[in-house]
Amino acid sequence: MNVFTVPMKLLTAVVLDEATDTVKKELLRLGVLDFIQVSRLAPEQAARLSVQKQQEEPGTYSNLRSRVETLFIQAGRPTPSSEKLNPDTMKPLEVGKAKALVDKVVGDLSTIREQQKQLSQSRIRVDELLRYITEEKLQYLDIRIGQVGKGNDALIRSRLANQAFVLIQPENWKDFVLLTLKRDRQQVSPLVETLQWMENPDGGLQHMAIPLLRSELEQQMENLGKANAEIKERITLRIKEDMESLETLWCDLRLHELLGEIALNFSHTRNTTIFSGWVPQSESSALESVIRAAANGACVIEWTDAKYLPREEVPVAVEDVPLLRPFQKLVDNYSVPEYGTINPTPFVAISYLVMFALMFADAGQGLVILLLGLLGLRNSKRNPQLKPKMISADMYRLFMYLGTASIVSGVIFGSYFGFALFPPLWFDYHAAVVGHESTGRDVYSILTITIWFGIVVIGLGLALNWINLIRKKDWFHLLLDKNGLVGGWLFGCGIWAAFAFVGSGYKQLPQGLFLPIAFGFPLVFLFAKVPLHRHMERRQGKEVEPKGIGPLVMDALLEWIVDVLEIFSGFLANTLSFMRVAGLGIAHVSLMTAFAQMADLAGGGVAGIIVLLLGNAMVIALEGLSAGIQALRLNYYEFFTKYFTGRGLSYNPIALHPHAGRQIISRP
Amino acid sequence: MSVGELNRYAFINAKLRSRIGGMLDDQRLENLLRCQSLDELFNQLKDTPYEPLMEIYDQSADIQRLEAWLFARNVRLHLDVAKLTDGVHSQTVMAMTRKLEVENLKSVVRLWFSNTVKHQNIDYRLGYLYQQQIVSPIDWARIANAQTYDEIVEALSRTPYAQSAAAITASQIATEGLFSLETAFDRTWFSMLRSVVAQLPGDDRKLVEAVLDRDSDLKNIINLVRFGWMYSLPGDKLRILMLEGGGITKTKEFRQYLETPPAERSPQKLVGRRFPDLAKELQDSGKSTAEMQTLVVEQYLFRIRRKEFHAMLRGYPFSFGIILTYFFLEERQDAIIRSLINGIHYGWDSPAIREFAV
Repeated sequence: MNVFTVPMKLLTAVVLDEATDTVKKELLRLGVLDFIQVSRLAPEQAARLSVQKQQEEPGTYSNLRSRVETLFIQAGRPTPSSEKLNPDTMKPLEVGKAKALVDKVVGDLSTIREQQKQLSQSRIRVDELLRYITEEKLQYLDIRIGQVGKGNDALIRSRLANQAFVLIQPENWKDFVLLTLKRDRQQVSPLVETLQWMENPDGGLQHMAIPLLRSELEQQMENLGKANAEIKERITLRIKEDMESLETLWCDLRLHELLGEIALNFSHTRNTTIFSGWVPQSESSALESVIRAAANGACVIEWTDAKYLPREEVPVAVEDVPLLRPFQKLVDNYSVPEYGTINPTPFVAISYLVMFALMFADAGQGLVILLLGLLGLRNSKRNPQLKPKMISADMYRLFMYLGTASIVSGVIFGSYFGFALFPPLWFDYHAAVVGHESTGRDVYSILTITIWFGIVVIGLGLALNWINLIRKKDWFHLLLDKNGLVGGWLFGCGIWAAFAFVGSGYKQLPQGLFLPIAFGFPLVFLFAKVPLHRHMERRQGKEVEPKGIGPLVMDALLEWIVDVLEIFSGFLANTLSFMRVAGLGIAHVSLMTAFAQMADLAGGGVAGIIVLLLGNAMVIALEGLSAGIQALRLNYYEFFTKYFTGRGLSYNPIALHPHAGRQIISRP
Repeated sequence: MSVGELNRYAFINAKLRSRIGGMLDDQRLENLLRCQSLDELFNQLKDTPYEPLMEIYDQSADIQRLEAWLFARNVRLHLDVAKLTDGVHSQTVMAMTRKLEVENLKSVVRLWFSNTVKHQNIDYRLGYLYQQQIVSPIDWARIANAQTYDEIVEALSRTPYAQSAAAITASQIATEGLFSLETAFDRTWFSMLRSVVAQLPGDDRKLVEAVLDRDSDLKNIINLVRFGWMYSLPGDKLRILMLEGGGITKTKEFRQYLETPPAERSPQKLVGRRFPDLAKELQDSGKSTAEMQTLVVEQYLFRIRRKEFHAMLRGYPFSFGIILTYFFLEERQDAIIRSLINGIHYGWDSPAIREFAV
């Protein structure tokens, strides 16, 4: 496994114009080239080069593709996978025809939607009547019971079509029951009168009619719900009718979009096409073969090593290690490492897991987290079409790692769901926290362990920084930066002095000349930082603002004060920050002890078990989340700040697969 | 900065700023403007606070239901903010929420008017109306189903709108329409808001009063142009319409405007001294219609408010300004979404939607 970013090479190629289309397709198929404009490499030549004008307006293909994807969503179908994209079977795309197809489907859907809208309005009418009946707000309703002298129920319905109404004729009743809104009386009454409505004078019938009306309205609501479901089904069916064409269109659009992106990076002379881009060194020979084959050998290919170009212009790819993917996500979330420096992922994997394990040391609860991770991962593998909302497959994998780490630390410290079911491999964490002297350890021992852990993490961060600076040949910062050798030396001396001070019972610092010399020399040396930096810049031919001795000394003094403060307070704060690891570990034990006591107070038995179950669930959810966040925070702020500048440029090749990018699969 | 301000605003400031940060950005708006169907629009609104619109549309295809949801969301946001504050600050937010209550009240009275006075079928339209309590306990169904205007007065008897409703008679409504009643509701709301704002402590009071004064002035100008010029309302009736606060009603230009015969009234002269920029814009708009002149004032008001609220967002964070800004931006965002929905539904072309939406 390569701990550094993947070595890159810059390709510049010239092919004949007639081979351009084939080359484009092959470049897309291989999907490893992160293009740069040739004019950027040779600005003086830019005027002689031309860029082929695109047939369509920018965004035409992506807009149309987005419209097709909306139809897929409406039909409950996933977007075709990138495996279906085949440049060889791609057809020429007539945008007009493609638009017509999409417009036709969308137009048909609008017609169906209009029916759905009318259904929705009917639902509102029925809903209002039903609400008044249910809430017994009969003052808003008119209930007529009687017969018509002219026509039948169909005629009544047609006359009242524009009103909110219900008409029923209960079994064994001669009369109709007509329910309308009182506020519509002025419109309804004349309509009913034209049918020669004869009202039944028996007032008691109204009370009998109410439950019947309610049941009818509920039935109508149910029917409307079913009708709506049918309409939604029609929408799906309509889209599915053209699904094959839409899928083909989607593939063509996507391919044209990608090839268009590639074409934008091509520059042209009268007969040739020139393009350039970055590619991982391991892929360079494959790429060269592909271009030569596509151009029938009629091409010129030139490779430039990344070391000849400014580091900040080289895109960064890192080796894809499947086991470390969840941790790679944590790093990606922070930033991109500089080209040629260390990829923090393997180190983050170790430090994150150790931090979490120290904060959440419980084999039983760890097992629960592991099982949650396994179940989640199984579920996401079984339903790949489900788009993860909050928790992705990588997050479930992280759960599995964290659960395993907790199990290991739980066994080491002898904690199983908050109980010491088995003897610890190292020492009894619970006993140390609650003050059982038999263990020979107490809370201070735990704090000491975490501080040592912090020192190791910070020390590792400094060492990684030195390696990065050596690789970058940045000798100035290697020597004089606060995270450089001077800073590291002062940090080391500070640790030595602090432990000696603690060892003396907090009475005195180490005696003798070593300490003043160990601190004094680097501090004096640090004072030379500003003048030295100016001298180096001048030697490199950079423009340096002229300054007299006085302002220069003041500059140096101010910079020195800031550096000294940053070194002493920064390292002290960074180291003490790791006490939170102990803090959370102690809080975890305290909470579990409290729940165990609450279970005792509940009298044990079923009540006690419920208290323990709830307690464990709460601790897993809250403490687990808290430990995860704190471990991330320590990595981001205490560890990364020592060596990870995050100034890298992400490697983004144009490829068929949407996620091709920074992580590359290393080829043997 | 006092400890009280810090305690009061630290949490709400962080919360509202995070909500503001999550609002639709320019790139997203551009994508929305390119949508050609409502399904595409809602697909683009996935993972935004407007995501529920997709489900509502999928279930009903009814854009009025979407508008109803937007209104309900706005009410919910106001009530959420009120819960995050206490004392007179909470009362101020509730008084601002009354603006929505008044809008809803006007809508339900309009429905009643259509049905009872104009004998039109209001059919399913009541279904789109917000029927929960906003601030005061108002029985919306009772108003919509009222047989007479007196029943509406009775339904509002336990609300702050009782006096405004009782001051108008059924015959006035029948002959003159709802204009007087609606403007009376507006004035009631504004007056209540001002009286609550007067109780806010020091800087908060000054800040909100300054915003309200500006709003009063510009809304009064809109009313003077719209009703004094377009509808030729006499001076005494115009005076009643004026919202309290602001300075325009205290000027001699205002008095002259009321005294001048409607046909000779000049909006430019009215605003010339107090809002010279606006006077110039009105002048530049030429001999346009009164509708256009009203639109010019409305756009000016919008720009002023946008400028003020953006300045508040950049300025001192621990003040009532963050709440005002949040409501303004939410309202603006809702208006954009509403324009997009309507524009796409009614088949406006993209530039027309852009004109309304952005």
